[in-house]
Amino acid sequence: MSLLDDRRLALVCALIFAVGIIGMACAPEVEEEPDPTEPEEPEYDFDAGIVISRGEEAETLDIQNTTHASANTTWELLGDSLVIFDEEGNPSPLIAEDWDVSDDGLVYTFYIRDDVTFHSGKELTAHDVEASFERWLSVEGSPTRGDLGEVESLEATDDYTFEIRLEEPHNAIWNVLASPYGTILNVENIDEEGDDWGTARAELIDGTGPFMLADWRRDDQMVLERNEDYVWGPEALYENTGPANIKEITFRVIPEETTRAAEIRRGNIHIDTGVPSAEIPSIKEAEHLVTIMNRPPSLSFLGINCEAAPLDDVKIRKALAHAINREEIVEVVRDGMGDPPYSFLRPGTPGYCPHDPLCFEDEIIRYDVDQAIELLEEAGWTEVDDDGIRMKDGERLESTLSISDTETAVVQGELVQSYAREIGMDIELNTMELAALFEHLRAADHEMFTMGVGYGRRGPDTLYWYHHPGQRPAPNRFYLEHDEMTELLELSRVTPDEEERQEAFCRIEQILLEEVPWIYLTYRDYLAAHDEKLENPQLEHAMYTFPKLLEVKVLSE
Amino acid sequence: MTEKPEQVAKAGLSARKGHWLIEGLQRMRKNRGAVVAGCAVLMFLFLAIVGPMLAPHDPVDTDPPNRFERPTLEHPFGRDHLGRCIFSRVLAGTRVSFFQGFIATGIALFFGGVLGIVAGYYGGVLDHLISRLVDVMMAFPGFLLAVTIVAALGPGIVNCMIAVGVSSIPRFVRLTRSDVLSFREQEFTEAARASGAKDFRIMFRHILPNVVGPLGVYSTLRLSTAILAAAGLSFLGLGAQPPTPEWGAMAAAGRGHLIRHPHMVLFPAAAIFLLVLAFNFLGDGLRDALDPRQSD
Repeated sequence: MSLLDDRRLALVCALIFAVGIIGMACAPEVEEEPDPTEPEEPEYDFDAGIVISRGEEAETLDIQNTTHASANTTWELLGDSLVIFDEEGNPSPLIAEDWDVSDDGLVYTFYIRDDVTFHSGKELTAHDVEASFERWLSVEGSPTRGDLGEVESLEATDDYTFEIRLEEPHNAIWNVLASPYGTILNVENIDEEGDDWGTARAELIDGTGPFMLADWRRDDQMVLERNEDYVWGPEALYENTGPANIKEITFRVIPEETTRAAEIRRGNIHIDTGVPSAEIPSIKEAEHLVTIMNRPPSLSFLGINCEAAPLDDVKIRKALAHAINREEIVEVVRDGMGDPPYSFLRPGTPGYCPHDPLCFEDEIIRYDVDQAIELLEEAGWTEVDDDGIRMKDGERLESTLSISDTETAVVQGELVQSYAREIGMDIELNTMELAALFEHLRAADHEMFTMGVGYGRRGPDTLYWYHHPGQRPAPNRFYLEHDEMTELLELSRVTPDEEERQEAFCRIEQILLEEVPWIYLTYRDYLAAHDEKLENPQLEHAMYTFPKLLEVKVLSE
Repeated sequence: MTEKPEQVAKAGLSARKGHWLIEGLQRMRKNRGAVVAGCAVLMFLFLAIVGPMLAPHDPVDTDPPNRFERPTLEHPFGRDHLGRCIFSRVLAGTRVSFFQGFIATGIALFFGGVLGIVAGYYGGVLDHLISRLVDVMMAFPGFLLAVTIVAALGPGIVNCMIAVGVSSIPRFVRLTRSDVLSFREQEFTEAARASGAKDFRIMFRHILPNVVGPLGVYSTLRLSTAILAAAGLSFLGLGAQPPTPEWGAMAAAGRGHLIRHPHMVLFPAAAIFLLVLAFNFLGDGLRDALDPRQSD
């Protein structure tokens, strides 16, 4: 190639870049006119497909080995668990039509429906349930298998009876049995593919749900087709127990928030469960969109590896917690969509301290730079170098914060970085794709990370999940050793006494504020939006997921 | 142009080395575009050296309550999504961009030059090996190669410079090699060889001075590409990490707010645009003036 071409090319690129920038700045927002000829009697199109956007996709669809929200959403549709929570949060029949729990709380007997089939056509029996649970317990590093409690045995006593025996009572067992984690999988295909199952071939993913996986192009789109044989939908939740009213669901992965918002405004996407905060005004203005504000039990936090210096010193962890201005984070990162958090559980959600004043009132960590600096000086970090970073014995006060590369996470990370600098702590940001972040944390060489959790009906039992030493290296990525907390976490799982359980949670919240293995950043509100041509999209209940989507109907054009 | 290639080669060979440079620069003075561009580059260079001292505010100092502020007298370019002064950040970013461009081009110039001289001078198997390696590297689009290298090394400003530098090596190898090939057979090389000079001495004392001119010109042109590529990598989040004020990263941070707060993107993007444009015009003018063999 000649020299000339190269130079011209650079010039042209620069020009295109500049023109593009100016063009983008001037481009009018495209909004489609809503259809004015709406029929008086609604007519529905039962062959319609809908498109749902996703910001990111799970690294695997192996629901027994991931807690990623997108995997949950997908398995709500692809599969069924034994039971499902009704509106009041009580377990109601799904694959199991009935069940017994022994008086000592150790034996759970489920009576399985006899008309359920997998997508592959195979009939579901209690033996499949047993195999599915066996496989779950055998998955190395599964973040959810511990939620089943101390399982003594799993047994299909006949074709339609399945029994779980526990070594000790376990209050939280329904949380997993009724969640997508407890989906009954056809394990024959899993054996075939081994550990790669869930990331490899779409046709091997076999469940019993109202939709079947038809096509999956990772990080691009996932197409689900209606299961025409589905008739076992949960009666407690839906009038329509199957098949679904829509023929096809397409999940499109659009990481770019601006693009995602533009696509739903243009009508190319029908549901977005997490409208990015910066786009809320434009979404609310769009006439063809219906919006719903959710205030779910959902939190973002900064996790700390309590074994990594210098954060192995609780005073430094506490100093950092004091340095963080949560009100400002809610304002900047979430455009005011949320609340500043001072405990793990969101006020008003199950397990939140019922006392007045709160049990942990005195331990609450508020924004207080002076106190943060005082704590650092107490810990011996008294010298300050030329950059304003504190030193102790010639060592700088520095740490690394691992975050995902989404815009929200980066802005939040930059804020934390600037708060830390205020008190003389240097934080380096380590950004990576979400899937890579999960891998990185599992490898356990992190120092700090930020993450969000929507804990839904799992409620206070999430604390066991995150902080019991048995849950290392994931989801316990904090490595805080605290005997009293461990005992209380265990007690909360087995005690039949509701009051004792509540007291345990109150004390655990207290300990978490004293030991600071994590720093709460925001309680998150979500704005969901859907196209007005969808009826009953069940988004009021959607925290992250839309159970089954059996009821959704699409108005005919 | 008026001169013939032989004359330039002789001029380069002669002891009056400074002479052709001054002559060239005098020729360049007639090219008004290049002079303006040269002044612009000098101004940017000046800003890169003293810019951070001129910055009215600390470029990493956040002030969230005043975020997205439109340009004012105190903050001539407005404030970004964390309330930082964009003017100060653009100023501070000048140094980062220059630094990235110079180091990356330096890496390419050094390794590309050495490989090119060795390949051109020795020929044979060595030439064949180096040339095929260069062919393979040229098969990748330059930017994609840089992205791949950063992905392997991990994001960061140093790795970003290495990636951009390495991905530019092939072009330098080719240029140097082709020039060396033509000088290898010339009388002065023969003379040096006849007088018993070692290969190393011939390569770096006799041939190198003759290829310095074209290499210098090409480096100037290449600087703009390197600056653009480094900014591109930072735009993708693979280069400078927050809170480093880097133009590409600043433009990336602003793209989510483009419609309501265009000033976040406008100023860093304009800075990239101007600097790259200036380097292109300057490189163009330098080539016309110093290295007429390559001009059209």
